[in-house]
Amino acid sequence: MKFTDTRNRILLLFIVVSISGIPCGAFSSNSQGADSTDEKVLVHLNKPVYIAGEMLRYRVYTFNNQTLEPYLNSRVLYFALTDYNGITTLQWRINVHRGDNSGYCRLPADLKGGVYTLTAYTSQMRNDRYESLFKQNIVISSLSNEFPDTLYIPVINSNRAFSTVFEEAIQDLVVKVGNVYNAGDTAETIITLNKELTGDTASLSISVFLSVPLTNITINDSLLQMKRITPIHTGSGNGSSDQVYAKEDKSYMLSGTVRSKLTNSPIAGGKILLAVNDSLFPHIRYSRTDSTGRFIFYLDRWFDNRDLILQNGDAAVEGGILWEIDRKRLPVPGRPYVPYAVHHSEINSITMLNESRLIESVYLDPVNTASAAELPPGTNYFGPPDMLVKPADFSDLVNLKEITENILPGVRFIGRNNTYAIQVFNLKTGQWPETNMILLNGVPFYDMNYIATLGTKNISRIEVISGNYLLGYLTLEGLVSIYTFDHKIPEAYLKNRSFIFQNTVVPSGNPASRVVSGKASVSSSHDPDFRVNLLWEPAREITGNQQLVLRFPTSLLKGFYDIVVNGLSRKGTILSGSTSFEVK
Amino acid sequence: MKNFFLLILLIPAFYPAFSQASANEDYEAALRNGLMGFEYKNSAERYKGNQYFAAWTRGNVNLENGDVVSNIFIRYDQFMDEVLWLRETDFKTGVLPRGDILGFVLYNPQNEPLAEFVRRKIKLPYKSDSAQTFLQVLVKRNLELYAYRKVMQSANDYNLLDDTRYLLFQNGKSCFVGASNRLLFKVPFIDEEKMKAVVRSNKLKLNGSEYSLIRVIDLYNKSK
Repeated sequence: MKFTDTRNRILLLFIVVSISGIPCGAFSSNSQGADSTDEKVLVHLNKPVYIAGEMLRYRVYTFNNQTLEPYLNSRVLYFALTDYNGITTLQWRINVHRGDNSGYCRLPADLKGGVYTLTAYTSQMRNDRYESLFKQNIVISSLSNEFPDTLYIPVINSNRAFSTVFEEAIQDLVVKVGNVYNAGDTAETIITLNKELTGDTASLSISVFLSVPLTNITINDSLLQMKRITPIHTGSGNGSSDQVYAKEDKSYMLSGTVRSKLTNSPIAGGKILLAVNDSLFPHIRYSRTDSTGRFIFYLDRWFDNRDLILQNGDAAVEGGILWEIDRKRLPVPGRPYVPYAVHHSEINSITMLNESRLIESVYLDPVNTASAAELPPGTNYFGPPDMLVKPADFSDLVNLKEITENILPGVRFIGRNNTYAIQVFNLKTGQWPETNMILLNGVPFYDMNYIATLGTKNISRIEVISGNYLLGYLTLEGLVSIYTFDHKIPEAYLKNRSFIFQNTVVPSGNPASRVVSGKASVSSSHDPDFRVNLLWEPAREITGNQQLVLRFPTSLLKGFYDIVVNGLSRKGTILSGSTSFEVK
Repeated sequence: MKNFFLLILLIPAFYPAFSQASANEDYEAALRNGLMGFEYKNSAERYKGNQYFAAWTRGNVNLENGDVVSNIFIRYDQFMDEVLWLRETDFKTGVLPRGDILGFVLYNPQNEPLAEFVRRKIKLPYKSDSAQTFLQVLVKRNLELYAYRKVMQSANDYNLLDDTRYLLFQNGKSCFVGASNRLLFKVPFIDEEKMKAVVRSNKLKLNGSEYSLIRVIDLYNKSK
């Protein structure tokens, strides 16, 4: 009996411990607990000060949170540029792949001067604490506005950044350069890994840029000192969210919610169609909304940089539909910032950068002109059609009714009380099922009055599927696809009936090839040369016993230049090294 | 009571696994729900015989892009050489687009694999060009054995006749084989002596049955 009691007590203790453990296990990955993601991101920028309208270039390093080894799980990476208040002024997205990820994005020309924070994150990282994400302050100056005399500098408490690693650890990279060069001379820098990394291989990014006094103040460490003497303010931010964000490890996830405009209630069980205007064949995806009206599409790269047309494939909702798309915005909490009075010398240095930008703007920003590899069009799920007709092969027919009556056997276009419908003869059932939907240039289209006006001069080809077509949970009883010469969908229709999502993806640049000791890298120069950024090599590889030698021409801008080298070794060492030289 | 306690104890152990799996489940559900294709029109409706490989079973379809559409009701139409999918919401049957399918696996009610099919390009004996077709995997090793499950319409009556053929694959080479000793020894990429030794030492006799052919090829693969 006594033994049973003890056993029950132990059992009870186990149960209590187990139940109390549920919330820890389930919610530790959320915003308040430890990081939920196994991947981390570091970004190296080509310089710390930009002029609005200029190209921001970056190299992305993705690595495992625990081992620090190069690692990638997510397929999509987001960048957000926020001001000191935490308001997002620019957001863009790139596709990431295993290996080197580098690219560029043009800053909007209308950005006001000030200190901004660039944050890089994956969809899932939005669950993590904001502090744990990669962030870097950058200074932006504007050619059209005066540089502010007071800067509001966001305080960054990032626990992992190249600069922090560099400050705290022994240099893993040795960067050597001559002390002084004459303007226009070719400079040479030699980069080596320190002896402890013999046998390891690292991927590096190297930037050489004009040093301006203001940049030192914007980095974290200086601010931490300033915090002690200056009162800290807190920005408003974009607010935080209780939502749990999914990992985009398959492809880009386009998710959102549909609500009734009239009642604001979610549309549960809705049939959402996603289509793209295409002259080849329809690219349609189907998703069903859950009880909260939420839908998800997993989109492969074919859908990148296309206008995605979202429509309700179900019966029309009274009053219309309200579309809420998850823009993958970062919930930026109100962050502390420090006001900083800009000195005269600092304003002067920014003015010099503005002037050099004005001169340099006559030269095009050297971007990677090689277009992205052409993606194959994918599978035509709607082919082969039962009938294909090219109306131009026949005599002029002024509207669709005439076309169906004369050259489209098995299809009827009928009108009743100023409304039209299409009937397609079903060979299997011998019936003429009626539909009020066709595909116009690959897009589901429900405005039959518009379709009625199309004649042989407008239509390039018509394809007919006479049987039924199963599209997700929808059954299309006979399907007519019309392709027009102008490849357009009427704007009024798109505005009233659909939601258009511009699926913009910033292209990635091709990483540079490997450079071994003794071979010079070629950098473009011009005359007069007032480049601020003398060198940007986003992807170089180095092994433990090699020297990486880079030669680059200096510009006519005199002053001190910083060489910053960042990298990640295969065995999981975050590398950082820097040095400087003077151009006289 | 004891089981109840055990159940409670196990809850925290399983909870994280379920939450981690939900993203994958969402993805799989999206693949399942987004399936599309022409509605199935049976072109051999009036014929008698075994048109289908098996009854409707749960199965997985492996797509060209690496995705797996799992846990859907599928069936293989041997006459049309098409994979059929049953839409569970209204029991309509669709034809999955073959160009997108690498293969599919059928499972029995106990969730054990019943048969695996792959799409392969082969030259059919009665056709001039090679064609992509679904083949049932019978032996997977160095020397692979597949069954081409074909049914033909009989010339005189409305009957479907089984015309299953067997194919051997090795290093990109393929050859139709019959289930007899004599034919098997003559396959160009089979080591005749080794095969003879296998047949002799295991006292095998190819009696024309599929099982005997599978056994011979399997033992041939295992022998050194």
